Amino acid sequence: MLELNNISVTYDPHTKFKKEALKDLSLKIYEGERVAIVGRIGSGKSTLIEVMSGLLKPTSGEVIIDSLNITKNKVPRKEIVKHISVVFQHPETQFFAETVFDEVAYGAKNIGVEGNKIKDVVLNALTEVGLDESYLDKSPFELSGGEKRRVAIASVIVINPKYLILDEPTSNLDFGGKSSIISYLENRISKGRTLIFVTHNMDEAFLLSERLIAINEGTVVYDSDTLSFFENAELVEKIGLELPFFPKIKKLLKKCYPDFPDCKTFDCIVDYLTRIRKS
Amino acid sequence: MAKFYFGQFQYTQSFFHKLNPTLKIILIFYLVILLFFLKTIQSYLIFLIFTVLLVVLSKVSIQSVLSSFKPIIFLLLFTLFFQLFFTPGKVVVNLKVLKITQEGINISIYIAIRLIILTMLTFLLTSTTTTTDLAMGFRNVILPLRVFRFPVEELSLMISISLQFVPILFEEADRIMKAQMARGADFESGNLFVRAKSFLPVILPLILNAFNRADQLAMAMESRGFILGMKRTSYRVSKFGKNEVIAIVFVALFTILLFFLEVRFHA
Repeated sequence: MLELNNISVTYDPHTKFKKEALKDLSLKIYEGERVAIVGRIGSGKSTLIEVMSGLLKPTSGEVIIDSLNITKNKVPRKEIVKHISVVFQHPETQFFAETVFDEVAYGAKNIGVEGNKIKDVVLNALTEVGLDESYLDKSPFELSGGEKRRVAIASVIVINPKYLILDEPTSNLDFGGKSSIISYLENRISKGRTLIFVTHNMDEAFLLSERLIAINEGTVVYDSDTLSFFENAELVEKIGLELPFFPKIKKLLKKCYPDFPDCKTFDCIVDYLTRIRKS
Repeated sequence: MAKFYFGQFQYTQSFFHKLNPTLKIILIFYLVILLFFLKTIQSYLIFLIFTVLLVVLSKVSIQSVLSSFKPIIFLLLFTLFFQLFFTPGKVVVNLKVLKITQEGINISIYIAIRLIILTMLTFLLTSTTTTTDLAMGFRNVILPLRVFRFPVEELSLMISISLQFVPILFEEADRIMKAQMARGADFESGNLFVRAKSFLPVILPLILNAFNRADQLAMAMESRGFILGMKRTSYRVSKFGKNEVIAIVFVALFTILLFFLEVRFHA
């Protein structure tokens, strides 16, 4: 279990530019959950994931991952990343190696994977994101946007963290790139692995998460199931977010058809409308 | 965000923030030169007190002033060690292999105070002047060189852009460091060589991203009509008022005071 207790983060505390990014925030995330963290720009999402992953020490409060207090105790980085790690926004800007193999192997070497096992773990990570052996000797800088993003994700999952956080995993990608990342995320979900992702794309939050945490001005304003959040259109709009496609359609059609179901696919909508037409 | 880097501009309101940047650069440069002419400990101490007073009056964060000394500690200790033990003169302490001389002690004290004052003066200039003002001030200082066909405008633009890139590069470095730490990178343990090597995955993407950014900036400037070597007008106008006169008078009086101290105490 990932536990955040009374976390507060204040930037530039003794200046007139003092900014309280997180205010007394507490939450628990359990293993195997699919959690979406949403909120508008500047709401504190990025600060929250930095604190969660032990990259930023909170001003007050503590982070406990599987009974390991990473705020109070000085836990080595290579131990923390085995529990929790992050794929940051635009992760391809962190590339430095000549080949995809070296880029992905960096994380494995950092946590002390033995030399003869490195190639196996690198290949496993690449396979998980839908890339094969032919990519090993390619330059990561010469890949397409979607491929770069997948290599970046592979370079983190090679560590095999129990809790994986993805910050805007599909931002700045074209349709093909987005689809490949979504299919990786769906694959991870199907394996029952924990997934925490931060997104501005409400359709992704709606389709991929079962629990949704909405952050506004450094505090949690909603923390429950995703479906119920999008049923509360007033709250969604109040915190500056928009309804995803399917809840929006539902909201419109409910005016004419009060028994319109919770659809997550086009087939569901078409089936319902066909049934109505026939009857 | 909470960390200050050396000389970062600080948004406080003080006499120094309002001072004409051109005059500020000239006065600071003058004070630095003046410092190298001093020969008595009395003058050095008065100069140190004067500089501390200036820093206090500038209302910058004390924490940032103290942290500005971090980069020079090694240089300071290195210089002090050599001056203290290898300056010939009257031996005060004899440690067989190493000898401390009276002259060595004196020079060490002078150098320490000089380095501290130099750091504080540089800090004072950059922490109370925005990068745009700094570039404009520098442009005005080197403006007379235009007579010799020196590319003043281009050089000041280059300096202005470079200075504005500094905070961006720091933020970028922080972002890349965090991304590499998320992949298990450890920048704090190991010996000096190991630690230096561990920064390679930060430096390479940082340089690469900086080049990309510079390329984008060049294209953005050209698309907005920038042509190299064209005569340009300036939106900002340097003002010269009461504050500037006060600053000049104050520095002049300080020079006279130092002159008297030098005459009085120089053996």
